[in-house]
Amino acid sequence: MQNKIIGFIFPVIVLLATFLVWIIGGAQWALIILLPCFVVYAFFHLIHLHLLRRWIASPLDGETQLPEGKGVWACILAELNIREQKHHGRNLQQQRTIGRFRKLAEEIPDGVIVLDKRDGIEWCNDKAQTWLGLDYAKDRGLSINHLIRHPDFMSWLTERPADGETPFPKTILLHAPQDSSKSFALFQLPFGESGRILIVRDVSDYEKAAQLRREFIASISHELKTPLTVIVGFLETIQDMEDENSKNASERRRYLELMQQQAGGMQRLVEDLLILSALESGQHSEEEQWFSSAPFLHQAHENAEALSQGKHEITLCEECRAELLGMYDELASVLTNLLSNAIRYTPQNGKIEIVFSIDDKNRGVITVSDTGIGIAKEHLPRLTERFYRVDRSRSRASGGTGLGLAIVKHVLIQHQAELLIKSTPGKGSAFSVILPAARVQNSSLR
Amino acid sequence: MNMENAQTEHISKQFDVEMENIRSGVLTMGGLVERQLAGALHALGSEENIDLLTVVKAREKEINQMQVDIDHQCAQIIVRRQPAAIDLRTVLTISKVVSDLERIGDEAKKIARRAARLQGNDRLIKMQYFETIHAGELAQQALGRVLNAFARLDVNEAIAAYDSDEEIDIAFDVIMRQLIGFMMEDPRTISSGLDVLFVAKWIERIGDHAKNIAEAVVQIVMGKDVRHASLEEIKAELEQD
Repeated sequence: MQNKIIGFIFPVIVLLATFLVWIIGGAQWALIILLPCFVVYAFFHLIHLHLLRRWIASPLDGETQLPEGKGVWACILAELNIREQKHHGRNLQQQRTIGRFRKLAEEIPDGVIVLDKRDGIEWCNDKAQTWLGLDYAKDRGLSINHLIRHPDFMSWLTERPADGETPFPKTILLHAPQDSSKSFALFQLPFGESGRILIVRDVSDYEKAAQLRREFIASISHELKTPLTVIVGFLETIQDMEDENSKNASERRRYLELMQQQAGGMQRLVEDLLILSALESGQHSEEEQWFSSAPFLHQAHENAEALSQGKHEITLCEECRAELLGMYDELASVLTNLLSNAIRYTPQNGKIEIVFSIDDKNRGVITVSDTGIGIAKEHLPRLTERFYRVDRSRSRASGGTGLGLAIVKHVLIQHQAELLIKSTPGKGSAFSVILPAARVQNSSLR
Repeated sequence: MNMENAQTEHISKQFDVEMENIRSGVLTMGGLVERQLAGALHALGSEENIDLLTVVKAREKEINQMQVDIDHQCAQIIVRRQPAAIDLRTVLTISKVVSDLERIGDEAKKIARRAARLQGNDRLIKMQYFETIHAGELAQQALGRVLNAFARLDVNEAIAAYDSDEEIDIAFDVIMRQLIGFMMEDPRTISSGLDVLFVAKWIERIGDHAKNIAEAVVQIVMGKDVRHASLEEIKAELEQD
């Protein structure tokens, strides 16, 4: 208000004074008075203009306040100041929003690349950079097919959809440039006027699973095919023998025996597969229960003796007795599998030992050790894989299905137990089942 | 005045487009060569018999055609636009880069062919295979690196390729020494040993060609001819600027 009065009153006073002087002293005196007033007036405005110019030249950070002015300038500058503050607030908010969007784009589990109309890289997030070996700082504006040079990718990128079709429907599978075990699926979406967005999705796990499934099917068909070939071969031979006399009877019986052996192998394989699939799908045929270790171990010992037919020296050594919690039949099958492996891979008159003990952490340890052929170190980590065999011909000849240890592994996982394998080629192996303390109650102490 | 301005801008834009096309062409060809090398190494590594040769041969033809096309484009641009400075350097070095790429493609084709022959061979020197494939992967990395350097016009990345070339050379020496050992021990391994030796030699050549391309990149960016200079000399030279 005061500023307005000053701005209004100053010119009025000057004009009145000039008018008075004009009437009293004439025009020249009026001019003499008017001139210095005009100079003061001009100076006043120039100062303000200078202040305004200095403010405009200062950086736009919302920090530098507008200078305060006098008279009409006070109003103008105050108005400007308010606008500036508002503008700055909006700016900040916009920046925050943009920052949030950037962060959002980084948090997306896929890689995102924005391309301009010439396929130059406009923007890409961190994942796209690390996965595809891009470097946004250097590659901004570079054509993407200069950096990802796979011919399939190039043709996929330049391929335009025919009219009427949905644009860019196809995806493409790429391997990482540095690491061929990683694979990515790429999609493209239209973006803006003629740009595009590429979405890069990590599908390595999916690809690996698909690979494993393919391998599994391949190996299982192979496992079933081998005995079938033998059976079919013998069947054909027997058919050819049919019209001849009974001279061939003993020979025929031998063939039938061999066929039965092969069929038995197939049956075991299918049974093991059924067990495995039941274990994997988590269907339990029995409830968990407490049982004593002694009869459990004696049963396994007897079974092993029967299987070995007196060819091996099998001993049972119980360092203590305990009550165990678990599924009796499944744990028994673990022990049977370990023992039958030991018998299979231990030459005649070898020694097999079953030891039950409780370690210092109160865990139950059942160890099956043998003096067999042993396993080389490089095979140990893969031993529990399905159909993994150290020596294919030997395993099959001795009636193994290649699934025994896979079953063991699954049963043990369900019991939160561990399998520890120690082996020296030529000297023997020791397989230890370690049951967690929660499943073991030492009864020999009581 | 206005008209003239408009015209020069138009010409340089068209020129830019042509230059960019050539560069794209080189990198497309580079992509094909990279595939060719990857295919060859895959054939070397895999145990099953794969029918790669038809693909490799078809790609080889494509690569050769691209070399001719790009050379032609380079000649055209020199005649029509009389390029200067970085443009001239780029055009001149691109014909060299292209011939190096074509040679790499050739070596890869030879490796693939030899690999197909070795697959049927049961007296393989298995250990040597891993070493050779490892060297091949090094060469593959070096090639990818120099092509990236070419795309980005990045001198530092180009120089990094020098180091990997040295690694490849060392790997080649190791392979050769081991092969000699094998062949002295058991003369029956000589024929497959020689095959492996050839493959290793070709891989070593691929490393050299990659190094040539790296030199070309340095020449394009810095305008300095660094052929036949040692790594230290190049680094010293670059630090001067």
